[in-house]
Amino acid sequence: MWKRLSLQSRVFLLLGGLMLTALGGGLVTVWHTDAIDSLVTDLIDQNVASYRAAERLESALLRQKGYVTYFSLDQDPEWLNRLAEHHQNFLHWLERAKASANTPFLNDLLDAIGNAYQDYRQGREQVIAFYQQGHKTAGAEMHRQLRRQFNDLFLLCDRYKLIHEQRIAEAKAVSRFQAKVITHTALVLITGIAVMGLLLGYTLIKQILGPIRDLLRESNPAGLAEAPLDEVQALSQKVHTLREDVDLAQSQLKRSQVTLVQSEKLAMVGKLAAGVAHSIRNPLTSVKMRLYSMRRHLNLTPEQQEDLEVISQEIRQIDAIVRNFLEYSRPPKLKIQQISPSTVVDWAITLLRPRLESFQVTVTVQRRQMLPEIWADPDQLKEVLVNLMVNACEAMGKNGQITITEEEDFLAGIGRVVQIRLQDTGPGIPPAIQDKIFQPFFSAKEEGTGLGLSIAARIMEEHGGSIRVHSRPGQGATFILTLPLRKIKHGNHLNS
Amino acid sequence: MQSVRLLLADRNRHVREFLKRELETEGYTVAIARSAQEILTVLGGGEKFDLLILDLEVPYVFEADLLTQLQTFYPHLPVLIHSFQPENPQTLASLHHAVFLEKDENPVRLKETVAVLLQTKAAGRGQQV
Repeated sequence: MWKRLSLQSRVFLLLGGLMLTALGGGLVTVWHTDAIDSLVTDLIDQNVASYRAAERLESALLRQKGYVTYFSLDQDPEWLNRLAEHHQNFLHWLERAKASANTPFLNDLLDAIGNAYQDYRQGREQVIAFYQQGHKTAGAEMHRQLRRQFNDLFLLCDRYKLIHEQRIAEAKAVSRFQAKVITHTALVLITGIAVMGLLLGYTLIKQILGPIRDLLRESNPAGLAEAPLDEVQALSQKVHTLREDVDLAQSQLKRSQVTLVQSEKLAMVGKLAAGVAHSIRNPLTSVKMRLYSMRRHLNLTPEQQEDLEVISQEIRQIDAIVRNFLEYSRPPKLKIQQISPSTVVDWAITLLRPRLESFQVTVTVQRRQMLPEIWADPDQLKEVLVNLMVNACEAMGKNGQITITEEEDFLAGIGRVVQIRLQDTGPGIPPAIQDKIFQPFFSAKEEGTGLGLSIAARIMEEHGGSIRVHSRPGQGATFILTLPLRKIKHGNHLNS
Repeated sequence: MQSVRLLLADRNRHVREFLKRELETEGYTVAIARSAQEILTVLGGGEKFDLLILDLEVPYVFEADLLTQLQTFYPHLPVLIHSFQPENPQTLASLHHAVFLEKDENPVRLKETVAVLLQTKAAGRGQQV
């Protein structure tokens, strides 16, 4: 049952129970104390008043003793006056006692006292009358009887007083009992509060604070030494970070899904292109052979010569496209070796010298010293550079300028890298197509296959590097090649 | 002296005929084959050949494991692979007993290579190239 409750319900239940017990206990105690107080006060008020009346009654009775004897000795009326005074006193207290008497038994008793006193007083008046008339013997005889009557009366009064003493004792007992009840109730409540408090504490520590600590420890195993002061806040921060991480991971996942779909598409297109290229290559070779043969034997007019030349050129273009297609769909394996990219730059420039001269393009290399050696495939890297330079030449037309800047750099997340920038003075690349130029089959050139830059990008990726373009229309284009400077041999390509 | 006999196998009919014509101008006798089966049939026909010029794209070359069969049954017949660069570099490695020449439009290189191979064969009878 307890296990089936939710944590919140458990805490609320315990907290509620604790509060109710404490509150109820307090209320009961207050109420009880008040009740006892009024009870005791009532009892004491009543009984003490009655008791005082009883005491005074008894005292007023006792004081009447002796005066008649004194009077019998010296006949002084002063004694009678004193006696009358005490008589009045007695009557007064008898009235008071009657007023405070609250049970029939006490009333009866007081009535009995009143009647006995009446009898006694009448007897006493008789005795006094005897003494006044000088009948000393008769008076003394009656006086002796009167003393017995007085003793009885006194016993009655004493009894009345004792009853009150007893009642006060009873009230005391009652209040003591009530106090005991309160004490016990309080003890039970205190125990209950303590138990529930402990349970609440246990629940809080075991099921809230403990798990929070554990979560924190799990999420931050490194920071065990410094336990945070506010675990909940720390945890909420952790959760916040976690959520950001999840968001990030999700967006990365989405991106990589997009990339995956893209690369699957590309693989399909590549396969298709390869198939087409493969099929075309065979008849194309035949055409090339026949053309070669024809040119050997024909004596052509200049016009015919030109036609044939164009056919040859176009066939060469088709051949180039087919080769690019094949290369793109079946990338050659990297032949990794240690080489300075500067050496490759020099090779590429040497290789392109005739082409550069025909375009009248000058190439400037900005180099402080040879770049450090990296693990790379020099031929593939050269192809990238050749591709970029040929593109630059074709974009610039005559009298262009290519500036190649080599430098070492440090990039966060990658480490030390070498960078080669190729800057041309061409028309630049419109921003709208800057994202697309590395995609296969995208070409802005008249005779482009749309594969040159995508092959370059793939070669850079296989080297663990990257290619980027930076261009503003009219201000030329800058291609930035980045290659990681690795100590160990590494190829990003699956087969390497 | 008996003329040199070449067996030429290519997938493309026009290429076959063109190369046959070119090689015949050099004085060779050229027989042609269109598939791996045809090569084996021609070779098994009793005629003796001095050289096989083989395009790897000829049908059934790999399915029939032609090269192994050639080496087993005709160990003295030199093979010149006249083909495009194979897609799988391992293909080339498996052709160690043959000479590879990449196909292009100019027949001069083919003629030169054929001449070299025939000379080598004549010099060291039965020696593998």
